[in-house]
Amino acid sequence: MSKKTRRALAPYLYLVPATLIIIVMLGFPIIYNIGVSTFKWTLMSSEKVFTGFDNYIAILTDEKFIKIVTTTLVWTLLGVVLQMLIGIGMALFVDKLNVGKKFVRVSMLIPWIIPGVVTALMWKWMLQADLGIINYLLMHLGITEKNVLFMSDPNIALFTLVMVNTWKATPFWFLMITAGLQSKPVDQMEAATMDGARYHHVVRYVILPHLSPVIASTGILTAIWTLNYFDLIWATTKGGPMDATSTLPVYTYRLAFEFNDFGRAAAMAVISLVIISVACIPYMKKMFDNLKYEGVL
Amino acid sequence: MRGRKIGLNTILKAAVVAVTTLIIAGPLYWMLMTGLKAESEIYQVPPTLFPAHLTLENFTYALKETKIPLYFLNSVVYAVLTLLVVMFCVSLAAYAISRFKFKGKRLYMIFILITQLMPLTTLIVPLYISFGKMNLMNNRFALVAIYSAVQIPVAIWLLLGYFNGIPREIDEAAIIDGCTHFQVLVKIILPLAKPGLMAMSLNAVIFVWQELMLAMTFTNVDTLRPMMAGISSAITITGVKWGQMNAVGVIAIIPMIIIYIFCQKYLVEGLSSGAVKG
Repeated sequence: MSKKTRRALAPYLYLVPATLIIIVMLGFPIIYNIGVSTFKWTLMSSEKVFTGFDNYIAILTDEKFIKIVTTTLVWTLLGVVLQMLIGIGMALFVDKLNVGKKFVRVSMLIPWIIPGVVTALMWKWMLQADLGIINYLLMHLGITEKNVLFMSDPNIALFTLVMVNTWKATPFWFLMITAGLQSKPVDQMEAATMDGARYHHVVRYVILPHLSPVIASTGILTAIWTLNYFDLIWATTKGGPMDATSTLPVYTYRLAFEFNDFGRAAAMAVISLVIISVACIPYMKKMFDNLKYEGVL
Repeated sequence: MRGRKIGLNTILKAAVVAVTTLIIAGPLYWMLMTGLKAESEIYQVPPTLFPAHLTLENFTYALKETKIPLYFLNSVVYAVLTLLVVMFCVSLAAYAISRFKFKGKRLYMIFILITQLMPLTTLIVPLYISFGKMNLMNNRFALVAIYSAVQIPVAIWLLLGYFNGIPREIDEAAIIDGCTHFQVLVKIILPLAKPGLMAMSLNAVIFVWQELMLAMTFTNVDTLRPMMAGISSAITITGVKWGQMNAVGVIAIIPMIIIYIFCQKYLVEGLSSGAVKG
């Protein structure tokens, strides 16, 4: 083999191990998943019947589907908006602190490394209807008159979990915005202050525009993560009570392993994939612009 | 007047800091304290903010009478094996992407991005069926392979940022001095990208430590269950022994806390550079 062909082949050889694992463990399953979604395929019967789009039609015409999608939207949008508002607010607040800046920054990030299952455990214990510390405090301080069923009241459970997830996920926003603030346009901020602008004007007209690219990409990223997030919901409510906390991934999992309907679970996974891909397009565009900027593409 | 205004401002700021600290540390404090109480004191009304009788009985029970040490060890094994696979594959792949021109690079990057963002739910049904057929259920290496596959795309993006930041003139000089491309990677790029490798490793370890869905789908025997799958099945039943469960929760986060204390710099840097650059 000549030196030139070796040089031309080298990059492909370097890519072999990573690509092989991805193709076997991610690429093949996606294709297979699409295949399974076109069959009536349950754990009970050994017979698999090709049914084309029947699983998709069954899902899309099921009135439960609207409920699952609505729950997913509330879980994702409300969650991301809360994370964003608190994250930006805290980052701006800490940025202005004179003392204890480092301490607050360090402690703000702790919930991020607490596993979802342990977060579920902690909050489930604190939010217990009869023994939980939070119900005790609420009643003791006269805020509520009887125990709140945080996790078992279908009208409340979803919001409880959104709050718990906000506890866990806000640090990422805080981190991103804090990183973005490191390059804040100090000159412009000073000029604006000299011209008599109040702090909230500086935030509105100088800092937020400066942060908008960070806010946009963090928004897309956290939206996808939140939508896909399974651990916390599964370890607290398993999607209940009465499907009140069944988001797309939770419901897909239940279709597969509770109702043992693999065909329909596969179809549901494909639907999630389509929804996420559409939401990702702007993010992918940005990642490619970065690569071009770095001279890789 | 001015002095008083600053005073009020300081009090307000201190109040915000105090409330934030309470919200963040409160749940962790309560978990630790509940773990340190005797079962009778846990359900006492009014609850005690600090245990009247400190006891380690919940911890010793969890460590001696339950499968927790086994689950813990399993999690460590999954994390370490996944880390090794990811480190090997990703160093090579990121090097190729960062330093070589080749046909299909753009397509490959699209492929990597899509796999990075796909929901894990698309994996469970097909892999459950094929693992069943190939007798790979409850197989340590099968789970490590899935974890690696899920982490590789993210890790490539993360490490790529660090590799691209190393000036190409350095490797050109080394090539002129007689290094092969592989030597350039091992002797020059990897040592210079150490913060990137650290960030990538921490990211992978934390992912494996936290992961629940794949773990409980592909392992169902105690000898192979990781920590989170074990905890999750123990807290979603009725009649949870909360003292023991909280002790288990504390044990489960110890490795994460250690990582956080000693490697925080890399963790933070990796998180913020991987997702948003420029």
